[in-house]
Amino acid sequence: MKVQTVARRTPAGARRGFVVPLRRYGLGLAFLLPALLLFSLFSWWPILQTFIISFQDYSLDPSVPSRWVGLENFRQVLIVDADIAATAWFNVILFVVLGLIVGYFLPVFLAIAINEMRHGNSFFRIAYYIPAVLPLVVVTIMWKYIYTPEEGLLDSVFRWVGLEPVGWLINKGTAMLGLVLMATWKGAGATMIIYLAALQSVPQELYEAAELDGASIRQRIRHITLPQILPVMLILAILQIIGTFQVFTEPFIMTQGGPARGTYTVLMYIYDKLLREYNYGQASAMGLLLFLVLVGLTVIYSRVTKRLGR
Amino acid sequence: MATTDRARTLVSDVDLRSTRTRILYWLVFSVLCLGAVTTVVPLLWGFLSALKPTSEIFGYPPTFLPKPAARPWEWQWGVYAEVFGGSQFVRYFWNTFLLAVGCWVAAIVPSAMAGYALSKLRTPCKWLLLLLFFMTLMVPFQAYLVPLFLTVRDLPLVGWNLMQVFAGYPAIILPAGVSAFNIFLFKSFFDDIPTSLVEAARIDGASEAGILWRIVLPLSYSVFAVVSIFSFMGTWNDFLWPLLVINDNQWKTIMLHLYQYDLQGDIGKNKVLAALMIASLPPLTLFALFQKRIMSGIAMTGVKF
Repeated sequence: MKVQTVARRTPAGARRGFVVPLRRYGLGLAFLLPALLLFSLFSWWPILQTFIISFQDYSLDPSVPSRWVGLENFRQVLIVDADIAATAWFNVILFVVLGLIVGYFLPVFLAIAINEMRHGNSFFRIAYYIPAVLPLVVVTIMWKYIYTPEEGLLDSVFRWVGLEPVGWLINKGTAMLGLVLMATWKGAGATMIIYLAALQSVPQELYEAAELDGASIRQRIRHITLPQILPVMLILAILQIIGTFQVFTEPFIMTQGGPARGTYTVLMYIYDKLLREYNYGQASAMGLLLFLVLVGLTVIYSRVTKRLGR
Repeated sequence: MATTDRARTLVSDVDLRSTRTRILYWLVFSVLCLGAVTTVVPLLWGFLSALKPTSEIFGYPPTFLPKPAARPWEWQWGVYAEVFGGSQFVRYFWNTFLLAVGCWVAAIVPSAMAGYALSKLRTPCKWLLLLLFFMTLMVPFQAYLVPLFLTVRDLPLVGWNLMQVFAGYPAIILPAGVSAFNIFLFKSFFDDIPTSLVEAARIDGASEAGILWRIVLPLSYSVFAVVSIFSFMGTWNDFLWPLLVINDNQWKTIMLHLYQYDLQGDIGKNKVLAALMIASLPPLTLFALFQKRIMSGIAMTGVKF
C-alpha cells in the first residue's frame, strides 16, 4: 500500500525543479544506479541492437561502417540456407514435442506419488533430484559414453538381455530420442519439486469432503488434484517449451548436431554463424527469429499466469 | 504406520486400511524405487567406471563393479588423484571458483540494491522502472546472444573489449549482474518487511545505511542464501557463454576443460569420467549442505538452475 502512495506522489515532486527531486530521490536513484548501468549495457542495449544488427552487414572494424542491407540477412538464413535453417527449426520443434511426450507427465506422476509415500519420502525426493544438481556438461559427456554404439553401457545391456543394440546416437531416428531421454533424466527431478510444492497448497478439506462422499482415489486425482495443480502444469509446460527452444549444450557436446544434422538446433546454427563464419548480421537475424518465437511464448505464459492469478 | 503430524493428502490413512489400496500403495512404492535406481545408477556407473580401463568401460558383457575379481581396495583408486593432480586441473577448479565469486558479487549487490530502492526508497517513475526490468524477463539471454557478444567485444561509449581484459572474465561477471528475476526476488522479499519497522528506525534517527545494515539485511538472510546458491550453481555449470568469451586456455573454466578433455582422443575415458565426477563435487557438496534451502528455493521461485 505504501508503495502506491509514493508512486502517485512522484509526478508532483518531479515538477518542482531539480534540487527537491534530488534530495527526494537521490538515495533511491543511487541504489538503482548499478543495476541501471548493467541493464543498459548488457540487456537493454543488446536487445535493442538485435533489431539493428539483423538488418546490417555488421562490421567489427570501426573504420568501416556497418552497411544497411534490408532483409538480406533474413533472405540468407531463410531462403539461401533454407534446408539447414529448416532442419534446425524442425529439430528444435521435434525436441519440444518429444520432450513433452516423454518428460512432461513424468514429474506430475512422481510428485503425486511421492507426496503419498509414508515410506522413504525424503529419500525419493533426493534420489530424483540428484541428476538436476549435476552439471549439464558432466551429464552430457557421461550419457555420451552410456549411449556409445555397440559397446556403451546401454547397448551392452541391450545385447546382454538379448535385444538388438540400438546405436542411439548414430541413427537419425534415435539420436533425438537419446537427447530427450537424457534431458528428461536430468530435468524431471527439479520439475517434480515444483509440483510437490504446488501439491502442498491443495486444500485438505477438498480431499476430506471427497472421501466422505465416497470418491475413489482415481476420482480424487481427476477431480481434485489435477484441477488444483493445473495452473502450475500449464506454466511449466510453457517454461519447458521455452527452455527447449534454446537447447545447445546437449547436442553440441553429445552429437555435434549429427548424425546428418539430425540434432542440429537453432542455437547451434547461431553459434556456427557467429564463431565459424563470423557473419554477425545473419547470426543476429536468426537470433531475432528465435527472439520473436520466445517472446510470443512468453506472452502466452504471462497471459496464462495472469488469468490463473498467480 | 503413518506419522500423525503428516498433512492429509490424497490418500488418507483410512484408505490404506483396505487391502486393495495397500497393494496399490506398495506397487507405486516399488515403481518409485525402480525409478530411483535409474536416476542413481548412471551416476554410480560413472563413478565406478572411472576405476576401470577404457576397454572395460566400453566392453561386452557390461560390468558394473570394476574387475569383479578384485577387492574394492585393489581397484584403481589412483585415477582420481592422478586426474586431480594432473596437468592444470586444480587451476581450472580455482579459475571457476574465482569466476563464481565474481559472478556472485555481481548477482547480489546491484540486484539487492535495486530491489531495496524499488521496495523501500523513493524513486521517480517507479512503474516505468519496474516495467523496464520486467520486460527483460521475457527475453532469455540466448535470444540476444549475438548483440551481447558484440557488446562485450566493443563496449558502447568507451569501446573496451572485455574479452581481452583479464581473460574475458569481466565479460562473464558483468552480465551476471543482469537479472530482473533477482531484482524482483529481492523486492518482493523486502516488501514483506513492514515499512513501519523501517520508518520507526528512521524516526529514531537511524541513517539509511544503518537501516539497511542493521534491520533489513539481518531479516533477509534466506533470500540472500537462495540467490547465492543459485548464482554459484549457475556459474559453475555454465557452458555456452564461457565457451564464447574465454579465449585463454590458461583461464578456462572447469566445464570448458571437461569438454576439451573428452575430445582429446589419447586420454583414457576412465580419466575423463574421473574428471567428470570431481567436477560434480562442488555442486553436490553444496546440495548436501543446503538441501532443504535449495529445494524450498526452487519451490519458491519456480526456477531450476
